Amino acid sequence: MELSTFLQALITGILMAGIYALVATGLTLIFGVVRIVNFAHGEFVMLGMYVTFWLWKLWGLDPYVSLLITMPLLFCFGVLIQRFLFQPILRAPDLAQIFMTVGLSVILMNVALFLFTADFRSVKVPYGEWAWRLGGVTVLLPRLFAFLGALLLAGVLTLFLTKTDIGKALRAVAQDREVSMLLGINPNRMYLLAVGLGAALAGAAGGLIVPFFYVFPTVGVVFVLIAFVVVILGTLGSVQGALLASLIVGVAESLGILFAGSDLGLVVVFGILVASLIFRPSGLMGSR
Amino acid sequence: MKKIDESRRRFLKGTLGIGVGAALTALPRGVRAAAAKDVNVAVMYPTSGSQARFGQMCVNAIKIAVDDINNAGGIKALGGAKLNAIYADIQSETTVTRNQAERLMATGNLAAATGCYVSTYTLVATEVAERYKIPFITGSVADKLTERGFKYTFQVSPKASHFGQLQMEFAAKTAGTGKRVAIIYEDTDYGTATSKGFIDGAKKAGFEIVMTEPYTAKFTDATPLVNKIKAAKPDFLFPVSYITDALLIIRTMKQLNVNAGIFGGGAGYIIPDFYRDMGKDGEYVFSAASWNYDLNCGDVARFAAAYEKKHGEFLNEHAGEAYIMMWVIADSIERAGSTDPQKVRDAMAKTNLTKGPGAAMPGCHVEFNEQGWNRQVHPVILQWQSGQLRTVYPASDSKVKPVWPVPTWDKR
Repeated sequence: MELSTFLQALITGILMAGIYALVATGLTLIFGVVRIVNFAHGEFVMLGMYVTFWLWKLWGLDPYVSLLITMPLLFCFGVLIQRFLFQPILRAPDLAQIFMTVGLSVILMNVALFLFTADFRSVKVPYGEWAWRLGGVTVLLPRLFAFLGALLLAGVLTLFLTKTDIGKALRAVAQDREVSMLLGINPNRMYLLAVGLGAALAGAAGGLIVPFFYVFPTVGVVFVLIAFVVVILGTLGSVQGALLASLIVGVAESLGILFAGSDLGLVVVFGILVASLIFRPSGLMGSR
Repeated sequence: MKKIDESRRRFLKGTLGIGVGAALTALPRGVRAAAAKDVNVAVMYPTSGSQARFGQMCVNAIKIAVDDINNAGGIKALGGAKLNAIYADIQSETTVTRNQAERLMATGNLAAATGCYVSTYTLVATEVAERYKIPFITGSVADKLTERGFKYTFQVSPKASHFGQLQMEFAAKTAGTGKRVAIIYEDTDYGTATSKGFIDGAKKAGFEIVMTEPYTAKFTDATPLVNKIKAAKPDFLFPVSYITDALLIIRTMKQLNVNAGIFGGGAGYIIPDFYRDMGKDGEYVFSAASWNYDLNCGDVARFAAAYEKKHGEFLNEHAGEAYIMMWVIADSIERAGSTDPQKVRDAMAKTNLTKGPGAAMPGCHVEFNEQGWNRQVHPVILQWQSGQLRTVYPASDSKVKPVWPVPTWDKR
């Protein structure tokens, strides 16, 4: 095998990791703080993609510029979801919570199907096909942008969580709800914030994906499956863990396709997941 | 007391009468027409669900066919009776297909039925039709359809296994210098079955197979797969794909500058959406098909233009066949001189159309063998040229020549 083929696979894997990280960070944030596994997270991404698509289609707004609209919009959407759908079932048994988020996922998917039909749509931007050729290796620029965007957002989120008072309060609620209440934090507000941020990140992921992927009502499923693997591998609730795990998953998938076969990329990914559940059940960032 | 009773009865009678009258006028036109001895034909396509796009195109074409047939005087042998299509949405689900078929065939008073685009659904629907002894005509391609010993199934289209053979034959004839072949296919039934035809055909044509690779169509990135194709350095690529995977693979090939003649396997490669989405990058892509709107045959040009005028996009392969099949049905009923499905079936088995819209399949001849397959038909090879989908092989069916070799990405 030529070296360039291997390098190409490696770079592709790293770039794929960026998108996985964005989807997974939102998911892990919601779980970490609110303790709800959001099975509708893929549909949040789908909504982000449709918002970006329509902004471009109707007003010619560049997908990267429209992040400034998509993210606040999805933030509000997340807040509403938390207030009216998640809040009432916070103390309900796990099963009820699963039904709620799975039901929400099905509803969002079908509403999109009804409103936008099953057509595959895509955004045409001049940079959609830009590529850097370095020797035998090609770097696809929209994917690089998405990767850099993901890094930037993850960095901002980490700073927010560690350096600001609100961020610290958010983490306090995640660590211990009762104690944080003693310290004068209103956990319900923090929950609103967490789900809002998680949804905004999903919206950002959608916006960054649109320049190189198709938009259709069931597109969320494609991304959320991997995101769950990433979140579990990187310890539920840990943002840094999600970043590290998405890198592992992206590279494993890409190299798996190269060495094992194009139908086996996901097999390698899930193989790693199973191995980690056996040897390190609490994930990369877990205590054990 | 008695008086009140009587007046109430009269009042009730009156309202009842009004009610029935209202109900009658409220009946959909189709049902009232059926009461006037028109000819019912069940039209079963998926117009919702994953295959909705394809099913909708077929239904659009059939509506035009029904109008054309009725405007031309309907069924003359039955005193100008009108054709009445009963549309059933099979929702891209096998269970729904079975239920709809049962419902229509048990109660529908049908002369014939047609559908369902996707072979899987057609296999189910034809099973029900066989039981109810109602002739079912289809443009689906699965070989199995007319190889089960069924008496009521008719297939106007070429069979799946013929596509791979013709693709390879065409590649071998046009190729000149090319010898290296890569075959990639999505790893469900459809891809696996179709790829077998490609592999056999490639061996027969004396090609060197440098890559056969199944892949999962649900990828988020085609780069790893295209990277492998690049490493294998093929002259020809035969992808068997659905639609998003096809589009992503071709886009990524351009980005990674992988140059190989692309020979798609029908479906997503030859619908209007393909070029709408790919733009110039869709240029020069080949695909096998069972029909095309520019065939050298009868009045294809007329009804293809009528469809394009009405729907703003070209008449696609399966929709074209759907149109033709309505004329084959009309011809059978005409010769049967009856709406009795048994008589229509016997007439359909003796179909021998060589002119008119009913004969407009490749080969310009519709004649069924004892299995119910149109033995005069063959697949054709199409190529996207300047935004038009053109038939390029066999020469007898084509108006233009294939463009080969395909220019490399950087020279376009």
